[in-house]
Amino acid sequence: MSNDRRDFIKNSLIVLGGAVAAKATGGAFAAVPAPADAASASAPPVPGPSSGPMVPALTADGRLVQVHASAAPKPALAVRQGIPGRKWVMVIDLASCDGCRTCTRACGKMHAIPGDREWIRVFKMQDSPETAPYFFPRPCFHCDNPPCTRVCPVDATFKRQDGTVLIDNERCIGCRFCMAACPYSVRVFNWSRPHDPPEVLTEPYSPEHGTPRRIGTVEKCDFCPDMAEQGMLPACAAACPMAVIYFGDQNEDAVTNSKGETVRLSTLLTDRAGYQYMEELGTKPRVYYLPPKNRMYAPPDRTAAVLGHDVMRRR
Amino acid sequence: MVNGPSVPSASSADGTPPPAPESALARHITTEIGTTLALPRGGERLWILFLLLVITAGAAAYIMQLIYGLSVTGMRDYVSWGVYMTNFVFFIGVSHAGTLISAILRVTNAEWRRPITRMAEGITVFALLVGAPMVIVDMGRPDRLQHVILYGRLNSPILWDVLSVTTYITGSFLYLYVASIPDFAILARQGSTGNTFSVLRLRIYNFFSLGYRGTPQQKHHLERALGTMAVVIIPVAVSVHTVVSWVFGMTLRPGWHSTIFGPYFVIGAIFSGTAGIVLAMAVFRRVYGLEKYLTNRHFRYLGTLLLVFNILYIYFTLSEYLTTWYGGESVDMRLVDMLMGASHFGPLFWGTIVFGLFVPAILLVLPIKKTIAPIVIAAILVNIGMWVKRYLIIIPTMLTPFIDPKAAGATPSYIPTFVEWMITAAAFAFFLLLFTMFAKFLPIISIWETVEGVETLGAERTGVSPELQKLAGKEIQ
Amino acid sequence: MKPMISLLVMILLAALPMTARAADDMAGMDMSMPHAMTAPAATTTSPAGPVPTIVVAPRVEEGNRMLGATVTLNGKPLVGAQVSFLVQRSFGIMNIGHDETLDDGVAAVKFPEGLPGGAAGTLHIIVRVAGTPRYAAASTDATIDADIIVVPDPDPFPRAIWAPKAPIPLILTLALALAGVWTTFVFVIIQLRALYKAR
Repeated sequence: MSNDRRDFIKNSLIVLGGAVAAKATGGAFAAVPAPADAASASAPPVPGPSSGPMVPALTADGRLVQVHASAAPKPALAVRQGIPGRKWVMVIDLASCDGCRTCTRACGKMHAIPGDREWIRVFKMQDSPETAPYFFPRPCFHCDNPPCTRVCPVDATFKRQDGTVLIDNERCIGCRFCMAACPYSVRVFNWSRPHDPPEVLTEPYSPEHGTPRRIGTVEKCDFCPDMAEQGMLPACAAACPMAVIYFGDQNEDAVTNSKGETVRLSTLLTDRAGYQYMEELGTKPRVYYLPPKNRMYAPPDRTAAVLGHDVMRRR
Repeated sequence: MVNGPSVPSASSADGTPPPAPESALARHITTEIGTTLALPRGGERLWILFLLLVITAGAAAYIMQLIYGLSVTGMRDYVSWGVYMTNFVFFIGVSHAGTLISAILRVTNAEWRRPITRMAEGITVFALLVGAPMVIVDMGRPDRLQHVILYGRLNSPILWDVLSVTTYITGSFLYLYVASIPDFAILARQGSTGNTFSVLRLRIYNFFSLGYRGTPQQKHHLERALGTMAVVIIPVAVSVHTVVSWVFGMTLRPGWHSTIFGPYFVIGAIFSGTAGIVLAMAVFRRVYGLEKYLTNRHFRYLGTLLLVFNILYIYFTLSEYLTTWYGGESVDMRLVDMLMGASHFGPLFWGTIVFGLFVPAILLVLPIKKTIAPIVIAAILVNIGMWVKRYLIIIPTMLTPFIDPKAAGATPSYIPTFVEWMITAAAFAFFLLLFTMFAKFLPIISIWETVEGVETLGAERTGVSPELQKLAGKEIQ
Repeated sequence: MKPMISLLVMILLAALPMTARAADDMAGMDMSMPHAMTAPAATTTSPAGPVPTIVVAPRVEEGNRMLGATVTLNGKPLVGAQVSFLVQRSFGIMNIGHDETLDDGVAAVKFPEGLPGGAAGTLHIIVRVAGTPRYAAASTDATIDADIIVVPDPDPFPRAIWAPKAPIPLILTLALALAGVWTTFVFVIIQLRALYKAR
């Protein structure tokens, strides 16, 4: 196993999630390198974050740097095209989400996200004054008909065959058309010079993790595609204490949550009436929601709108 | 020479042109209009200095933005487009003044156009030269501008914009130039305008005159070129503002995703463009004393045109917002509520409707014939109103995403910063500077077209002062 | 002493398939599908005792497609054993059923119909037998043919409005419009050239 920082964080997240460690099989699987990673991981596993094989890599601005083997950049085309035969998919169980925002924090830690933005944002939704509010975590939907990639003038944001919508921040010109075009307000911008932590700055840039950040470019949730390739859940899914977020491969018809529960996607969506948020826009999101029915926790406080039935001015 | 064809006297068999048959009228008009070409002095210098100062301040603001990033603006993740995009839409709109008005009037043989076409065509070119770079100012990575060519994606309305605006700038330059060739020929002759030009300046004029002497053959080619440009520039101009509207219309956002956005923007563009010409005419007429050439009649005719587009714009605005409001979709209603009431956009919106649309319309229908004041006031109101209207098209929609940001405890807002205002001021100053310099380089009123108009059609139809007719009268008989 | 030795042998035998599999991994063979580690934890924490043998195979029972596991202990069918059927997926192991062995030592669950089997079209099945005081827990891996082979999208980047390449009609429209206008510009420049030539 490589000792790259991301993997390190990732593994500790899995342990933090607790559930996977209990399910020895799941934990063991996470430790097995995926085929694509086999070559780089062939060196004997040595614990400790500072060791591991180093390979030379050329950065975009022409500097030659030494990086950990697993962090060596993939060919740009492979990054743009994604993994053949995979279709990453996410299911968010609104019945279990208690709005603790651990996902947001884990994601922020994973991607070294500055405090002014969130890649996965938890909204407190209320569809009508009479219905109970519910928490609604919103990552990027990685739409199959993405309004954002449609409008990008330079192909800086692109759709991969494994379903993810990524951004190449070394190509992005910062026109922010994609931000205006995204109906779900997913995209955020590096308005000022980024202050990435040192460990992020040393790694080579890849659209697969979006760091180090570049000023004047757009970023957003990326479905942690480098980790998915290694069979590891995205940071948000792995960290969720309520096991709200399921992640998997639609082509395997299976999704897994932080408790290590792996269930059939088709069954889950059928039995729990899964839906896509605002699918009427034709965006074909790759994120499904399960309605907040039979909640696992007390519903959030109702607003005055419900209590004061007649007091409330209604349109 | 200018008036070749109007003097059918023999161009000799070997093709050499006749000696310059300069009429008293041509001399008179050339000298009068030529006063604008004198080197700047006094007030003009102060004016240019002032503009340069504003531009310098804007440049400093832009350098600050380059260093610190767009964080120096009021834009943030929810409102990711602001004043820069407003300026872009506004200037592209003003650019329609020109070419479109000039071309339509030329194609329809509206002879009174003759003294105003040059100004209109100039406005187009300069508004484009200011408007198009506003997009670059708005870019987070202007250093990667070449990516648009290297990686350009034809699916993106921005690419359509790049292509159509490039075409439009090229076409507008060409159109302005073709219509100026005979004037270049006049200017290339030392002393023709009553000014003394340097040798270099005369050489430049001579170079651009393409050796035009007004022979029937040259006249034929010139008219073909001009006629063709006048026709082709109309669809190009329409396409440009349509595509600008599609930058908004092609998204799924409430308030933008509207099928009438193309025509709505085109009408708005011609509306503000016409108002732009009226303002330019009023200023030049006043500063250079061109009352003989830019008469009440020109203002009245343009006032009528302005009124037509004013009413059309009211109609489009009504269609757009009535449909949105009547449909009452929840997210649309959040936008409508913000726009028409419960926010600081309310006064701005209704202010624009009243003072940018209805007050100008009333001023324009007033039966005042003696003074141009109401028309000029209307034009000022329209220009301000149309800038604010563009602002109101962009910002409130950005503040109304489908997922209400309040549901995540966020309260996005947008207040343009000093940097944005400075750059905006610099953009306007740059536009005015370009126009001022232009007036120093080329006659702001097309000499040859005016002379031709008075000589062949009379002062009445050309719209200029009857005084000029008297001068021409002797010649024609 | 004797029981101790036999126990050791048993543990060694149980460990053998695992070692073989690890060797496979090292040789880089059969990399098309991610491998699961059978849980060694399960064996060590369960009560000591003889380890049952499991043979996994699809079967048909009363016209229904089933996935069966024949559990034997010392060559005899093991009756009443609790058997779990699992499928390896990328992010975890998915439970597809649970059954108790009958007289013939066979436990069976409904075949995971329509469950895609990756590029190879196979499912990596894991069958676990829960340990009891009589016998130790056991686990085995098997590869069976799945109903569905996952074929990567032959054209994942079609000409579409969201894709890098624009649809042909869009390109044609743009090209025609631009060509028309620019040809006209060229015509105008030709006129100007003629004008210049006629000086």
